[in-house]
Amino acid sequence: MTTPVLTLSGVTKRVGRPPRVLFDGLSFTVAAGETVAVRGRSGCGKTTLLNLAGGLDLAFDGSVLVDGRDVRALGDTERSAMRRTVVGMVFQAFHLVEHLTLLGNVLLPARFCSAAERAGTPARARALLTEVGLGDRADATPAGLSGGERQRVASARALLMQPRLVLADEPTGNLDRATADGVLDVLARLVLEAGSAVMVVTHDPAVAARATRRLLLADGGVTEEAA
Amino acid sequence: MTPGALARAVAEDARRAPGALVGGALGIALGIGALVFFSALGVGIREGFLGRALARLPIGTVEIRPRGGVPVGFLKFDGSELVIRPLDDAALQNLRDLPGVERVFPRTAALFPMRALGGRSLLGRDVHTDVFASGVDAEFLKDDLPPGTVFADNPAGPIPAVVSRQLLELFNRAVAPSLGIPGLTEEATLGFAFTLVLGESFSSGRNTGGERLTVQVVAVSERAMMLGITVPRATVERWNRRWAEQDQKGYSSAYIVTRDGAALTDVVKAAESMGYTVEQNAKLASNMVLALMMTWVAVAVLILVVAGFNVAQTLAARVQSRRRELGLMRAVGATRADIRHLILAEALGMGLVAALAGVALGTGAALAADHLSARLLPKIPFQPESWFAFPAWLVGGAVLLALGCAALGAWPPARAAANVDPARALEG
Repeated sequence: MTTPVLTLSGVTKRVGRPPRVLFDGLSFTVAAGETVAVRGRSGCGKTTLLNLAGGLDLAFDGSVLVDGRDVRALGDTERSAMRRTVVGMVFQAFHLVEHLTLLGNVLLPARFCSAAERAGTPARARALLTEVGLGDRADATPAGLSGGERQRVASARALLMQPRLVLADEPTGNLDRATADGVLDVLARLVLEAGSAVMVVTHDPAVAARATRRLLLADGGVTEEAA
Repeated sequence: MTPGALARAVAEDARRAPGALVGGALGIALGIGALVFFSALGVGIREGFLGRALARLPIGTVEIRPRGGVPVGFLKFDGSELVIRPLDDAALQNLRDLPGVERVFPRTAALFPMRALGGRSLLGRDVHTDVFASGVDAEFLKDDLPPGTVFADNPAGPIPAVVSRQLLELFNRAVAPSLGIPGLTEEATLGFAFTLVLGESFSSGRNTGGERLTVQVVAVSERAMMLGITVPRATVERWNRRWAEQDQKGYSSAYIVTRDGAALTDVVKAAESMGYTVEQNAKLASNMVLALMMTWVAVAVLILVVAGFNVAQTLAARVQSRRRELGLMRAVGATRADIRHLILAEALGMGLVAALAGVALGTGAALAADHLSARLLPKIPFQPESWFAFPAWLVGGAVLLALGCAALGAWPPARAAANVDPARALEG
């Protein structure tokens, strides 16, 4: 059995003032090559779950292991390196940097790499932009891009460092059906090529339907949904 | 983040919002401009003007005199009736024994009036003036005496005399123009002979039928007395015995030559503790200029402090407006240090631009001030070519100060940027 890419064990998370329990002893794993969809009602903590998995939120009890390493045990430098090279994140709001070109946006993670880590990234970024159908606009800024195009650029950025785990937060939440399908196709193809595991949180049944596993987040716990 | 990536990121950010960076840099540039202008003015006046006008002795040499009176020729300005310590041979030996002292040379002032006349061959007309005279040993002047020059008492022939460069400068800048006669070069002055009448004075009306003799200029030296002629000490002592109304007790003053400039401060302290006064006119004037300069520098530093706050505010506002972008950077793998370095590097870039602009501003203002001074102010003795001096340490220091000011101002926003919570910054 391969080492899970993501392991949550007994994760308890409190939010707000006075604190209320969002997750109560949450435990599950994501294995390499899996695509796990996490569904749940608004406010159930789907985005928070991604932040925990990505090492962006460290205020919880229990443990989160990414690629076998406890995110809270890592120092800032190691945790940042983990986010850079092991994890790729796709956001609902895309979060492209408007003053950078599309190529610059895709290359953003490489900015913080060592020279050795950065080797080959410009060519890979161009290849990824071509893959998502925007190769001819690599040197343009995001101004004028549609939502679907923006999300394809953001997907390319998430895959640049060939991460073992892709965390996607409502990647089609701001897109119409046809555009969403196009983005999902692209993301699925990139993930397949990279051999990454994916955890995607979504409201969208169509997105969930593409996953190999489906989890339902409710009442502070998680339950496996039938295929 | 590698330095190259950091530089590229800073350049991108500068291109994105040049206005904000210019706003932040403006205050620093003004502060640095003021700092450079006033510091260069202070250095220029101290070195280019006072250095020539007042600091008449070589570095490492000081003149000391008995406390209680300042003898200038036959005049004596008493500061006190009590002369604490006469400057005699025993005192000279005590001074020679001080640590750091290489040589001590006595000086004897002529204690009676005298007047000079002559100059037709050099100036086209005769000039009449009272003069002061002072006597030193040839050894004290040896570095300035042309080879083969005999600087010794010569009762039978022309008396050798040395004049100061400051005297020539005063003559050329103040006396010659007012009399409508040409100025003098050092070369033309050498060999110039004139008549000296001992015991007579134009200013006092004293005319007792004094002794007439010929004096010949043999050298121009910064070691010579500033307003008068310097002749062999034996000559002055001989004159004093004949013409002075009272016997001089000991020497008028002494020149102390230290082994190196660093020993000077200790030697001055020791001489003062022995009861002597150290000639400090130049130092005093120089210190006054320094104090004035420091006041202006303080104003400039105040401007820089305000500029530092301005930088802090500018960058804090930029950090706030870029919160989401900074959060994204953290999410894709930037460390806190990367973010901190990014903001600090932006500030240093701003500081560098401001420093260069400030140095250009200060230099330009100095050039303009020199131009206005040359056009509007009358020529004065010892006037330098420029009132400003720009030593490398001044320019380098200004650049470093600008960078330091920018970095200090940027530190709080850089820390705030590094501590941006990526999860919250990327919400919504």
